[in-house]
Amino acid sequence: MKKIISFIQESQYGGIFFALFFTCIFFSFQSEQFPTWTNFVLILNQISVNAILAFGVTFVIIAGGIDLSLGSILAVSGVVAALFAKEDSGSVGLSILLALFVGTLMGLINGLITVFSKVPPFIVTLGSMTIGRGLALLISDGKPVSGLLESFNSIGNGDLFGIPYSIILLILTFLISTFLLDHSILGRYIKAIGGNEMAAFVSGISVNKIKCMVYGLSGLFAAIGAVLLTARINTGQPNAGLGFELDAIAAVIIGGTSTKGGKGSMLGTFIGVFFIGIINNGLDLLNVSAYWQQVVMGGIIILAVLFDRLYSHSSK
Amino acid sequence: MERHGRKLVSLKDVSVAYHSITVLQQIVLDFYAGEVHAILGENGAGKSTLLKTIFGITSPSQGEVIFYESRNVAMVHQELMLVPELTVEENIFLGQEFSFSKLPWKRKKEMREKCISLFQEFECEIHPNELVKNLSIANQQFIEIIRAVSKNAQLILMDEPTSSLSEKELILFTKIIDKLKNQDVGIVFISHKMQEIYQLADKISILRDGKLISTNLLQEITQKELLSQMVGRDIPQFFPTRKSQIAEEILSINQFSSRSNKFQNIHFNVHKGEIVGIAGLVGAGRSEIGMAIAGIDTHVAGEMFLKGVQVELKSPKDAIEKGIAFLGEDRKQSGFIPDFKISENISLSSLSKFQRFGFLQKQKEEQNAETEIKKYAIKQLFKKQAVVNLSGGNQQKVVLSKVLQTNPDVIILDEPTRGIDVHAKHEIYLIMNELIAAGKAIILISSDLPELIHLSDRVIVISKGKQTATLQKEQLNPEEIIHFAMQ
Repeated sequence: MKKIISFIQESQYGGIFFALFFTCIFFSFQSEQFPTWTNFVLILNQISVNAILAFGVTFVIIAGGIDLSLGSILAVSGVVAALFAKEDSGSVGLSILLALFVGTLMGLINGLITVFSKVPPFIVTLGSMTIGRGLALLISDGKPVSGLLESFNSIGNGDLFGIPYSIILLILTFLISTFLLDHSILGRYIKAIGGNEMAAFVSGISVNKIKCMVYGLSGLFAAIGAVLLTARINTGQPNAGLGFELDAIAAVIIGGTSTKGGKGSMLGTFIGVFFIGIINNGLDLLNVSAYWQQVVMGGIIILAVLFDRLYSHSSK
Repeated sequence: MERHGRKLVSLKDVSVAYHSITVLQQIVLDFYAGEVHAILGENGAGKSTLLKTIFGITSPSQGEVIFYESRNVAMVHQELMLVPELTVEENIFLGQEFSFSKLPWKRKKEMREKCISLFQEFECEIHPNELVKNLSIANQQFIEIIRAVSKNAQLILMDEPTSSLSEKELILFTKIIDKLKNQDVGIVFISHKMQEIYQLADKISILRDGKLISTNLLQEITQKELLSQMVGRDIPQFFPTRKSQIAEEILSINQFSSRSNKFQNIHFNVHKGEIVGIAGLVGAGRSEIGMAIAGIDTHVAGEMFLKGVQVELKSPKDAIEKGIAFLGEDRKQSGFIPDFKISENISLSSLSKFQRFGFLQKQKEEQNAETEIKKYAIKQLFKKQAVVNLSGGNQQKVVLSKVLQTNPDVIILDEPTRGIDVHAKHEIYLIMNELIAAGKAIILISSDLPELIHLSDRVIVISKGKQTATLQKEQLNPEEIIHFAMQ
């Protein structure tokens, strides 16, 4: 126990760990349904799409950038996936492959424009956010794409030995992105670029290439989220993913990743997503109105970061 | 006979500790009006902390700082604290704008008048409306000093004010210091340059490992005593001797010009086992030549031959792969990743050595760092300490170690000893000797003339982007170099 406490204290997630802990205790006292296994699985299931998006954008933020086009990339990839997974003519494999390809491509284009035009990524991805939304509406003709293959839908609703595919996917993407960030050359380069781009360049890192890859990764993760979401709701919605980028970025920030770049972790992001999920779930169980939930959520985002700041300052 | 002005500030048994690590230990010191007090010590000796404690950003964990008259102390920080997007005038009066009860245009007029009178007093030729971002580092420094004066500070603390000044600017700086002295302002400054300390200081205090070793009037202590007190032992020889064993040519450049006109028509060659120095005033284009050879600035024309083969570099990565390494003049800007620990910084240019199938081999990386930390005697307070928190000399050694990890043939060192203490300087000279003995070639860019003269086999002099002379070892002396540098 002592070891766990000292681990929490020494880790950079101290503040958020405590916030998570107290929130759980609070909800457990308020609602009997909250501290149950079924509810825990439900929460994980609910956060899976946001988590996958958040993992992707963590790379971007650590590299010192930002990606506002996640939600739109998700919509485009989702529609593409749906169009190629129709009951009459579709193929699950092709549909997934194409969706992932489109998402990655859109991310890469974000990266290329950022790198070569030197326009700040905030503006580039703000533009591609709108472009993407338009494209999603164009290729779907403005209507939801429904009537999808049963095997495709099972990605969103099926399970393996009782564990929903969405949770498996959540854990897989978490492990892969943790590995990439903390144990691969790419991850080290991403942190170096976010920490000091000039020094990274002089040290012989191909800054432009890495930056493109980072945006590509972010697009790829958005597309994975798209496949999951499309399968879950059985339709390709051109309006899907509105505002998802902000949820993902909020989770990354709550998880302690610096918006200036250079510092951050996937575990932090996971905790951030989980925290948001728990609050949504808890407030649902307490029958708090959806309007109030938004107010509370926003306040908590600020408080969580504030708490984290205070905590990490006092422990220094 | 000691003549003292009024006592301004006293430190009584002041100790400072961070993270339970003691940085300053029971310092007892007095500062007087009209006296220039130099603080000397190696990097990490606690000099900056001492100034910060007087200034009040750092509070002592024991003892107290006593102010006899007022607390009006100003500090010129090592990193300049000006707002780049504001004008010179706005920066000077930032936070002390004349009363808001007055009408804005009247206030502006008063500020302008005061600014002009200050500029006249200090013979400053900068226009009050100039944006600070357009000023040279030296001029920014003057603005910081004038800002301190405008607050009527009684005591001005300066953390390495001269580290980025050219010879000419130094003369102006000396004048300002003299003027302040005459106005009975007390000055405390940190410097690593002996020549300036002898020129400016009245009194010298030496810190070592957080302890005050001695305080002496300038005439009471010899340079040799100073050095040995700083390092705690005698330095056998400041510039280590070496035998030149110049072998075959490794790099040559011909008709080398910058397309953005930073330098023109540079031509020289470098042999294995040779140090070629590049001299010139600040802003003459020396660093730009270094950056072009290292592939950082690819906007160049002309020929470059590496081991007899013509090459055209596309990026720093390209240069590193071809065996050219570069150590930049500003380690904060282009040297290290601030939040990375030592091992991560050291391996940054050579990560391919520490990976298998894209996996980082962190253990191997750590082991390598251990060896390097020992080899270069890099001091860290605790393991995993971020490089940004190391002292300047240790940061420099980390960056140097990173640069040498790629096993280069040609090493470009741009101001390798700027802002680091004598001991660390000496260590860097020893490393350079080792490299030369191993048959590497070094291009040394330095503003420190004694260093350049003692270390180089040959010196190229640059003036306003043009090569004005190539001086052989026998011809090297300060007068000759300055003569060509000012041509």
